[in-house]
Amino acid sequence: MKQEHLEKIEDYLKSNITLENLKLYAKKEGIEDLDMQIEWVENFTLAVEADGLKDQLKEILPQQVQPKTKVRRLYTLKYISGIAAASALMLFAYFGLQDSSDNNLYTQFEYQDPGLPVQMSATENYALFDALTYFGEENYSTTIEKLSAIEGEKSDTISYYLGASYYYEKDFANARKYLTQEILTKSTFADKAEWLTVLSYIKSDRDNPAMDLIQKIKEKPNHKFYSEAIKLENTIKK
Amino acid sequence: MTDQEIFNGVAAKDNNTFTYLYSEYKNMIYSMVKKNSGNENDAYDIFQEGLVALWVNISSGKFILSDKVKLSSYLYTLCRNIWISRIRKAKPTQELQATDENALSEEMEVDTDKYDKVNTLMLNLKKLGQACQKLLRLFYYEKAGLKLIAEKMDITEKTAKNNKYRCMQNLRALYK
Repeated sequence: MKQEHLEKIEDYLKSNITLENLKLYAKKEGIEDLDMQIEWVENFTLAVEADGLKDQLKEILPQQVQPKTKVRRLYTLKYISGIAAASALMLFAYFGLQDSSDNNLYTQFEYQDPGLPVQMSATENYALFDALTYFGEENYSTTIEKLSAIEGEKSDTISYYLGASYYYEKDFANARKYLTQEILTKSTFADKAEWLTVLSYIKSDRDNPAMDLIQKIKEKPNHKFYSEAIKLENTIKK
Repeated sequence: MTDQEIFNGVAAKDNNTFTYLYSEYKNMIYSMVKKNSGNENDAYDIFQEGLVALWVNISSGKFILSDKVKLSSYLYTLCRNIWISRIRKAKPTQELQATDENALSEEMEVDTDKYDKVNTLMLNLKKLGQACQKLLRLFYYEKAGLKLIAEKMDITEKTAKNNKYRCMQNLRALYK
């Protein structure tokens, strides 16, 4: 293939000339295998572009992440249990039982947020997209790490998911720090943030502020957790 | 995103569209690959290949959007066909397990011939010299003009034009 032929075919593939004009040119130049040459140039061009696209995808798509956090936590627990003295284990078991009975009482009020359907087109923020992907995978420690890095952007989405992640990591004080931020009061996350705040107070054995917030929720019949709030109030009073 | 938006986004190599597809469909692809002797890394590779193949088929007119074909099913089938091809090379007798009834119920003709040819060329592209790879990448992927390429590569515009042709010929020789 001559250089001029390549350029002419490229012109055709870019729609700069019509197929008819290309055929006329090919006839004049005595090109007999025009279709094959067109296919070759098209494949060649696509290959170079596809090669670039492959690198582009490697850069933008999250790499596979093993659930290291959970594995590490289990390993640590195993290690601790192996070295703990019998008395410490008994104490641990005692508190474990107490905790589980509380959990049973409030299990029905638990709210597990599955996370947003992550659409980067809506956020145009790769760091946020990345963090929310981890949230959807219930990898809350990594979500916290990722969201903390962009916390300065002051967004209701960031505040809510930071708070929710701390909540699921059982760091209730930090959960409340984010879930009660002003930015969430008029946000679409407001109801979920309030409910997780109520639950975080209960799990911190702070029934009074939990009850105060429940009263506020009860004043809003359209609140997403209105009926749960009433039931929870009755459970606490018992 | 609608199928039309995804189609246009993939055609334009739009990052938002690719990350959207990844977030929406990675689990479906992972499930299919994992149930058929693959691991997480295989699934990640296949998903990327599937996206490249989707772009190739859209760009070459092999895939045209219609009411009869859901784009997600098309992408799933592309990934599945690529994975079948890969595992058959490794284990010729293995049957592929279905994992997503909805996707498979829309069994469709998905042509990977074009992608296979393009993929072979991509592999040969790596055998070219660094200067050739860079020049071709600048011209065809980054759509840089010959003047800009000449500046970036510290050569004349005419040399850039001639080298582009020579690189293409070198690749052609490798392909044959």
